[in-house]
Amino acid sequence: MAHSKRKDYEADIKWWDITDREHYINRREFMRKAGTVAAGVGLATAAPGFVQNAFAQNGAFAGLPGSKYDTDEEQNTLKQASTYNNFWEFGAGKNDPARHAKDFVTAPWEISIGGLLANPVKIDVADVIKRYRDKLEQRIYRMRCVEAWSMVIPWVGFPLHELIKDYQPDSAAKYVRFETLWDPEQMRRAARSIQYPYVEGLRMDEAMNDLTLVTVGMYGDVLANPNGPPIKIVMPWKYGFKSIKSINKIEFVEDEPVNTWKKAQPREYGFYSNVNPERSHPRWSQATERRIGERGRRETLKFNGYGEWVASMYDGMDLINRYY
Amino acid sequence: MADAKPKRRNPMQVAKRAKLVVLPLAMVPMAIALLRYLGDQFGGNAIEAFTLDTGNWGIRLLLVTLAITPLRELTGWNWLITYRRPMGLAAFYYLCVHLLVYLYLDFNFEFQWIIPDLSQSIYVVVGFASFLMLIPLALTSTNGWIRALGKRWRVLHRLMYPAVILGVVHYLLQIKEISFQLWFYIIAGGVLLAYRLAAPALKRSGSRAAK
Repeated sequence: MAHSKRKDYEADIKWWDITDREHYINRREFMRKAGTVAAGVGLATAAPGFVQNAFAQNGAFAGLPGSKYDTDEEQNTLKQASTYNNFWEFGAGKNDPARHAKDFVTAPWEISIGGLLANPVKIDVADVIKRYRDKLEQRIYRMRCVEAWSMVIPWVGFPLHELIKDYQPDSAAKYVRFETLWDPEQMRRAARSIQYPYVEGLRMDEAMNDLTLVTVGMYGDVLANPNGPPIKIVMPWKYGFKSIKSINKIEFVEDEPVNTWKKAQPREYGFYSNVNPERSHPRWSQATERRIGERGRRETLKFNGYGEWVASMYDGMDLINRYY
Repeated sequence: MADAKPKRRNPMQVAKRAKLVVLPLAMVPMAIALLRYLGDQFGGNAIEAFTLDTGNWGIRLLLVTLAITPLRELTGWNWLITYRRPMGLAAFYYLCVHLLVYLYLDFNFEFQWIIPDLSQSIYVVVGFASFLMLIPLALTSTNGWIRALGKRWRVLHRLMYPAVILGVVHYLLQIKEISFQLWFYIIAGGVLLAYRLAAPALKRSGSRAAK
């Protein structure tokens, strides 16, 4: 009897139903903190769970300003965005991140910023958020997956160029390389056909583009566990796999980084991976996409419709055969 | 056989009656899929889930159909033949729905998008080829056609073999990581097709040994 009751609870209450989501997401940290506070040590070592509380209204990042890039297309729901996505560290199925990232510990979270840089640093994501608090905005972007589906998601973040300006990489740095946390203990269900840690990269002008968003939230709240918390980047004109999740390493480098999917299948996935209906994937068409929740297809737009801000970066480049 | 135990029923007749249970059973996955789709229980990408589900059941039932002859020959259970045609038709039915979901729910019958999808997505072409092969098999599955075609019927129905191979390849071509399910299809399909290649030799050596 008691057993079946517990099952009912598990089946009925999903984490996105819980109002105070950030406490749920950071509950381990919360409990650790609560213990620390009780012991009288105080808040001097404030961790993200608490820093994010400073923003708490109806969500950690509610009420932020919008941006000129916002699409007015109908948004997908948080449930759609967090139960149908790829995060291969938690499994290859689209529903796997939602199922297997429930207990993903994302606080404290240290990011190293290094490479061709006068002063490499290690910084907690809570301090990153504090430092760029005034630059945070909501960006309602289209997200186009290389698998020919798309969503509209309101992200929260600040432009990567703000961070790059602050950390001043050497002029020799031509690319930015990102890594996702690889923690085999927490990621036991990781899909086996790619190598970890997951690596992505951007050319410096792409990284400096105003659309490139260091993302710390979605739907006015912190990033949901399946969506790459506590910090990721989003480039809406590129296929979704470029928007690397749960970043713990940013490096300024001279040579083009070898990104994970290019390494796994160089004929199918390239470094640039700009959304391009004119170049079909070797195994399937990219001409159309399914907007999650809709019947029928939408025509896929070149650069996912963000051409006016990004197309000039690729002038004269063969985006079909060489720089795909 | 009949005089050994007078009360025992002819297994062929039992099998024919049991069809009344087995056939509705083959439609249960379709009912579940429909309910899940209409009740929004298919997850974020319901159209994809519906497509995958009907496609998977199509392949599974094709494999069941292919398994009947070897099982019958190896066990001597002749009554199994009663289920070969219904299973094949059930597979065809699932694949018709699979195609319809693709054309209607996925593409809303917009042929200006379906045609580029067909021409650029190799797995769609392969799946479509497999389906085309199954059409004449479904059409000639009636007793009338079996009689009319005689020996040629068996030759025509060997189209099952390439159809199953293309069906599994259709699945293989669209995934990024080989799943347990795909391994099962490859191994089961491989064994069932290998039996067809080996069976004539087995029978020949068997009859020679009997002499």
